[in-house]
Amino acid sequence: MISSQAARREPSGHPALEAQNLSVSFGGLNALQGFSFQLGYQQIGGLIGPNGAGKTTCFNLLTNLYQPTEGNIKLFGHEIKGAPSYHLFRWGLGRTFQNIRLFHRMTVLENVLVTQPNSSFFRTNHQHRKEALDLLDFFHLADQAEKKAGSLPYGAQRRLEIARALAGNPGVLLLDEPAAGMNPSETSQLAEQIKEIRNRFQVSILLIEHDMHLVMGVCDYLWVLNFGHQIAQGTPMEIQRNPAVIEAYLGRKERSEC
Amino acid sequence: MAFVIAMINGINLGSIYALIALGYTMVYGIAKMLNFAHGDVIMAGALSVVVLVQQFHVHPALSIFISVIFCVALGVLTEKIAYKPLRNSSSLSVLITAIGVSYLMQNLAQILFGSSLRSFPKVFRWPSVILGSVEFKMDRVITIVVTFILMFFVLWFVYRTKIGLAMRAVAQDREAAMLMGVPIDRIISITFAIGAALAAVAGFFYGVAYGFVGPYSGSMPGIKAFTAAVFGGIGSIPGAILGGFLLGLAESMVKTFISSELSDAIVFGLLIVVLLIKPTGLLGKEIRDKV
Repeated sequence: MISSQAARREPSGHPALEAQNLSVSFGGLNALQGFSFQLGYQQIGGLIGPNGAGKTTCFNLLTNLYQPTEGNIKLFGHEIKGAPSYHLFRWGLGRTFQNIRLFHRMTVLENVLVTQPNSSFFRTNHQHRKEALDLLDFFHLADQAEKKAGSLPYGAQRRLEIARALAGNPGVLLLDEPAAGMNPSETSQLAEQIKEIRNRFQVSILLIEHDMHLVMGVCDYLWVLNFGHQIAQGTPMEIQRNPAVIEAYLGRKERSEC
Repeated sequence: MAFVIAMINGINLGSIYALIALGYTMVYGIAKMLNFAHGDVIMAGALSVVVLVQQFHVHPALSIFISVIFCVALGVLTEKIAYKPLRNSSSLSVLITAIGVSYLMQNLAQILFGSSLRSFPKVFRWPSVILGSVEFKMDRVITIVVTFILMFFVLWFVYRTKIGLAMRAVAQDREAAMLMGVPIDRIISITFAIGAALAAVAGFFYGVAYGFVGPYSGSMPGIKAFTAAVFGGIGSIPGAILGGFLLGLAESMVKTFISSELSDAIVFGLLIVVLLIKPTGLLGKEIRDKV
């Protein structure tokens, strides 16, 4: 069990997040098969692949929403099997969702405060409130703290989801299509912000994304999935030149754009 | 004057319904289940007061506290034993289990205390207050005051405390709340505990108002409070309070001015009309489909 914040911040020889031979099937369909990866400290990793490749399934396995039929997952060297999902958050795993899942009827500030289980039983103390407001400030949301989350514009809701995932001070952040629905200028801002998040919050980030400019510009390392199988891994440069990837993913996309 | 008396009786009855309806609506909102055994917790609360006062000669004022503790334990244990293992099962399985738990409680009470009605102890012996030509019975006044305090407490708890914040998060998206570190098992236990405590108090005042309690005494107020919760919009806390009062007032008015025999039929008929016009209940929120 992970005892303190400091223990998981200091590299202890373990990768921040690793999976070995991860497999899951739903009613005979192999959604993910034999997928292994290692995400290093403060590394930004990308999980790419066509729709239905098993990317979100992988995130659901990493957060214990699904149980793998085979394989294991380690967070800072600790097996996550059997731990309730809410423990993983305390062990330093934060995530966002493909379709925004904020608490829409609560305020922006409340969305961030929900994640602080260690403040006193009844009240949120001032220290936590201040930290939450600082966090919102980083995401340019502080002036909207008292608004209902559901009333924010789309891009702001995406930013709030990242802020909420960071509120628990995680060591690993999983971002599920953070740029979905954003226009090109918002996307390039997001790319800068993801790097800033890594540096400022000292987190390792694993992201799923379809926007290739974002992925290639931000990620240190990529894993490519297709029909539940890993077909390639490497740096963005290597992936761009990989024939299997071009065939399965980039190639098809380029053709459709012609 | 009949109107004023009917109003007071309606508010008295409505406040009891509202307390019970709060339990239904909170459990529905947070644990996403209809706890049909909730009505029987009312019976357990009232019956435990009768047993404590008559058999163990406990002071009535003390008996209410013991009964609240007993019902909280009953509510939390029921959830842990019967409902928690079904957390990821279909809602139909949970519903049928809840009905089973309800029968179990009724039959246990019957085995332990017999099936006959027992008279509820006379708790409030203070004289009535007479203002003009209207008589305010003390037990009515106390019921209304205490239930109002409890309702404000629940509203404060849910909207102003950290646990309440976590409860609202679980109600809106359990999975997301879980992944944001909200300990959902504990939050659901707390919800059941609050619901059961309110039911115990409601059972006490129900006993005071009607004077008799038996193993099946919980089912009628339970059904009516459930109706009130649906009427106000199930899942909505202000809705449960509003629904409870409106149902109590409607029942009291119909009994006084139309027919006491047909009162239930008329009140439930009204409910059907309201739900035809507004299927989500008065303050109900439209359920957003998740993709």
